[in-house]
Amino acid sequence: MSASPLLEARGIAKRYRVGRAVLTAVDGVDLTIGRGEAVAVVGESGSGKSTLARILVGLEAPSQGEVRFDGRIVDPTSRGSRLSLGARVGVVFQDPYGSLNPRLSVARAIEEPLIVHRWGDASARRRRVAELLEAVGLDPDLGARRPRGLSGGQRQRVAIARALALDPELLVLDEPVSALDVSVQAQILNLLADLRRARTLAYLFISHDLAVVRQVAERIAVMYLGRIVEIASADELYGAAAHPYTLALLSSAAEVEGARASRIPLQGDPPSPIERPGGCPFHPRCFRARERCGREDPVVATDGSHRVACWYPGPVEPEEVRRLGPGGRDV
Amino acid sequence: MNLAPNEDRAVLLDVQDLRVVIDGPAGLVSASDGVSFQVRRGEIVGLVGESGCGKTVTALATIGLLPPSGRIAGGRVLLGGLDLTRMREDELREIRGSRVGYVPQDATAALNPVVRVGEQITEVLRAHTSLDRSAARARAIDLLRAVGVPAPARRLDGYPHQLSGGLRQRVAIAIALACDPELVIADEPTTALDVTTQAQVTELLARLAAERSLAVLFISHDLSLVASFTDRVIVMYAGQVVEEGPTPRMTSAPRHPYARALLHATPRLERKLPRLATIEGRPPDLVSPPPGCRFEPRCDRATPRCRTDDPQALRPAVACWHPFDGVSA
Ligand SMILES: Nc1ncnc2c1ncn2[C@@H]1O[C@H](COP(=O)(O)OP(=O)(O)OP(=O)(O)O)[C@@H](O)[C@H]1O
Ligand SMILES: Nc1ncnc2c1ncn2[C@@H]1O[C@H](COP(=O)(O)OP(=O)(O)OP(=O)(O)O)[C@@H](O)[C@H]1O
Ligand code: SF4
Ligand SMILES: [Mg+2]
Ligand SMILES: [Mg+2]
Repeated sequence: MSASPLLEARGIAKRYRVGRAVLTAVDGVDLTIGRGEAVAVVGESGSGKSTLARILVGLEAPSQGEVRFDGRIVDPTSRGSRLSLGARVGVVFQDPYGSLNPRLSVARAIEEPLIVHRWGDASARRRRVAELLEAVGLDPDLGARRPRGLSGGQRQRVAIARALALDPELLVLDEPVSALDVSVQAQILNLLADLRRARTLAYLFISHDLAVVRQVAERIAVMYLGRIVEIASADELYGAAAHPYTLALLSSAAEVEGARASRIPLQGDPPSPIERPGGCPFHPRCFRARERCGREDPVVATDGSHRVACWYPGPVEPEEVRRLGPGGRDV
Repeated sequence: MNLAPNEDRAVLLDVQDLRVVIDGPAGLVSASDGVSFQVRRGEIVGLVGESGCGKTVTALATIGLLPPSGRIAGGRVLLGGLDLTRMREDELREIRGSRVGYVPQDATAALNPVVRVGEQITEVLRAHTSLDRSAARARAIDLLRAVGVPAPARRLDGYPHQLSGGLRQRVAIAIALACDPELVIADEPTTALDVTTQAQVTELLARLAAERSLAVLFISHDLSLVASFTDRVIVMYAGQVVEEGPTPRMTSAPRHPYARALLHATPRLERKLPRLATIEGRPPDLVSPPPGCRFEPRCDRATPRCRTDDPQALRPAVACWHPFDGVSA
């Protein structure tokens, strides 16, 4: 029976108290991940990607809303919920240097989740560790080494092997390749593609890099100031983005094969999650904003699985390109 | 992007056979080993290569800022004909302030935490130009606005720690541009910035190159970013230049196997690639690098000759015994 999606988050909000002010890191996010589906969350620094990820995997409680994994509510305060989720969700963080305990051998680091979940006896666990090392393309002899002697790419493979130890249904990867050189990044991205060919494995892949995301994700959510402003299939997002922020992001990203066409500039100051603008949170920086945008929060426009939180969604119009001029005007 | 063809413009920076050694824990590191390249006036040159290949050390040596453990062991660095490697420290300091702007890889470390942002900019202006206090302040505001710092007048009285990483980076860029230099050397200046800001900064550099003939040496590990606004690309591997050429060719049909692997390992915004190229193994140890081609252990075109004969002998052509032809793959 698997009528419910693998992961379903409804109305997630997260507020932090900073001094006497309140910082809204996540503001009303709905997100569903299907079984075996690869979903990416992109957005600029501070948009709330990591906070959302921590909430989805039960590492932190939302201020509002609820997360269900396979139909059951995720409750970070319950040890039972944490344990059962820990077995079914693997997590990989950005920093391949900080995320491994320097005192443990590689084999021991990978074995740890197996021990915590009382998985098999010592010899079964040893076989499992060897299997995992192989699955991520590492020499089994590496198991005896400490993380210190490994390259960045090797460490990130170890982190992935550990996250895969209990054969999870979902792998959450928070900027897993951002700190790596391109040649190593390519190895990890290829590995992530291969892993999904061999098993039913869903990804929540967090990144700020739209080119990297294109290699991994089937569906993409774009975050701005704690909100998902647009979500669509990868083809739809790269081919027919409709939210002005997504359009600005895509037009700013560099392409290997040539200069940018015409960049859509963001106007004004970077946003503050403490003093959030009213109406559409993007309106002070938006090239398309009209009076209504500052007044009313946009209603989500839905076209099949493509959702856009904007009053005036749509591709860049020729008239807009003319108005913004070559390279936009931002200074 | 630029009007005059490259060859018509005068060479501004001429690095000739630069050798830098650094005293490291495992011995002398040859971080820059016979590096030669030129940057012309108004030209934007990208210097790319993976972590540890010597980009920063090469840049630091060029402008006389090596750490105490490093020294120049050979070669020359000519700026408009003057050899910087033979200059006294005070002469170099004058050149760094007025003719060459430098944006260090770690901008946060470059700013003084206890001095207001505005003073750090006006200090440079007062030392190297004849602007008075209020003119320098006005210029500082212009500079901050030009690099995309919102509400610049308000930022002048703040301290670096009150700025986000991205804003600090932009202040460092503003300082490098303060005295209207002829050359800017920028070491990963936009790596910490969001893509929208990144695009804004590279466009500013491109505009200054076109309008004021500013020459830019832009160091980055991001080939797509470099492709988006440079005129020429230099690829370094293990302390040496392996190939250089005009950006369109270097990003479509590079000839050195390493340069080509780098290109095919880079994810594309334009389309999903069936599979990314990877480069197995790691770069060699720079304390005792192998005698032949330094890329040989990782190269799938290698023959026995590559292990014994150093293809650096072929420079300034492509440093490879078996280069790809210049057709895109
Ligand atoms: N524990 C916390 N206490 C206070 N504020 C926090 C906390 N965690 C996150 N924030 C704030 O919430 C906002 C969102 O942060 P988050 O780390 O989720 O962003 P992100 O999208 O992952 O950014 P990045 O790309 O830089 O990793 C930021 O303004 C951040 O400073
Ligand atoms: N202060 C130092 N002491 C010892 N070795 C150093 C020092 N600085 C650099 N090196 C070594 O010199 C070589 C070149 O380093 P450099 O910092 O120039 O690389 P890079 O190409 O700038 O790398 P990245 O992309 O990581 O910035 C490396 O092998 C590095 O370990
Ligand atoms: S010289 Fe040989 S080993 Fe070096 S890059 Fe060329 S083919 Fe490869
Ligand atoms: Mg984050
Ligand atoms: Mg460097």
